[in-house]
Amino acid sequence: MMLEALKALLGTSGLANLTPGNLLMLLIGAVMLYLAIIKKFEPLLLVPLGLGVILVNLPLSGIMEERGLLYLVYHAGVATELLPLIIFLGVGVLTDFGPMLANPITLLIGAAAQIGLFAAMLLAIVFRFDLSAACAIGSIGGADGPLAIYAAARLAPQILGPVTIAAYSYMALVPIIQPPIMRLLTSQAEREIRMKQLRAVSRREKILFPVISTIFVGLVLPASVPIMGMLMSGNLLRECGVTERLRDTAGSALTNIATLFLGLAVGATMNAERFLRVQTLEILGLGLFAFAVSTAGGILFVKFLNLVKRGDPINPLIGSAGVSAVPMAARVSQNQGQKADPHNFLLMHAMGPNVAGVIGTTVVVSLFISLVG
Amino acid sequence: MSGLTITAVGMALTFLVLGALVILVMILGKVGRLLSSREIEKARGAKKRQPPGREDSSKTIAIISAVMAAYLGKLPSQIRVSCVRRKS
Repeated sequence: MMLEALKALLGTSGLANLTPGNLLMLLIGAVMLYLAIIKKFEPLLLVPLGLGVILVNLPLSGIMEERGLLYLVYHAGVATELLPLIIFLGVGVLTDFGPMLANPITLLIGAAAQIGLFAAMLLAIVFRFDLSAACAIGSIGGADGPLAIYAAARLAPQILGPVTIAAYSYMALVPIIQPPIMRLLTSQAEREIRMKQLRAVSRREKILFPVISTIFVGLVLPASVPIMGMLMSGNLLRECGVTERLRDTAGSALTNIATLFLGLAVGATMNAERFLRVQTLEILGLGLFAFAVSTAGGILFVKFLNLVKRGDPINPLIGSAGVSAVPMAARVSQNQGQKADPHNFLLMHAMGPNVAGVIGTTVVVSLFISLVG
Repeated sequence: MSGLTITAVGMALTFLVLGALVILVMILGKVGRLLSSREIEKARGAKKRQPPGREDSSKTIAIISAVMAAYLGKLPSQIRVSCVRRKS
């Protein structure tokens, strides 16, 4: 009798139900934690993500089944798109549009760098993804984690896990992926171009910009209102100077809470049956393609601008910052510029296309949602 | 809708929206600079209208009177500070 009870207990234990797929996913979760804790790759997201992967792949835990903890978090925060939008509020608080306002032409560089999103979408269609999934995969090219999650949750929730992994991996790998493309597409003389100092931007401009741009973009693309609205609301809290408490909360505690639950919930979508597919590798590859094409698009557009534009030339290295991995992509432009000329300071110039890229990706994702979602 | 159509429409619309934002930002910059320069001029004008140093000099005299009064053991009102310049 006792033996039978023991057998029954063993039968209901996780050990008896552990599949090789679960084991592999537990290993992947552990690798994520390793990369985050030891290698410091995007730790704020990878730690909760890795934990989510581990929790959901423990058999019979029920954590992602109806009424399970992460099921509730996922359906309340990710499926409703609430958490990515809250993070976008925080991104707005942390973003300084000053360099872009001082040199408005950089907005066009941010537009050109969106070419990778479309290129990856087209290639994903060739790989037989349906149009919605192809658009979600294309959004990886923006190198904007919350936006890629927002797009995937809206357009193709079934590939949310791989899209998130790809978006955040490539964001962390910006200093490795971008420099070879930058060197390949620019000459030494182009890399040495010095740009004149940016003008000071008044507080009035910084306050008016988020309000006017939200109204304008919202009128043209109503689907952009949630993303653009949250981004610019956060930025207004930053610039208006009378909402210190709201700014501090939105930029730190609120964003941190949203990041924690977003990471856990997205990680929990990565169970073995869903994640261990050839499709996941395809998505990771397509994401890399999107990111590389976006980088090249930004650089080539600056070279084109230098051909047609009168006045001071623009250093093409800042074109790569048109992907919206803020501020990592701008730092890469600065580093590459200083390798060519140690006395050249491109950081503030590169911040212009960098934050313009955030607006560009917002416009493209909104467009995907309008046309396909 | 095909992927190619989305790409063509998408790139065109992205450039259109961000191009329009370039114009908006340029106008915003011009207006901002105009208003800032006006404010600076206004502040300069107000500074010019203010009689130079009157308030400051009376304050200085009051402080000097108080210090001298304390040093000489008198009341401040008993101290007279002469502002007449000595001829060279």
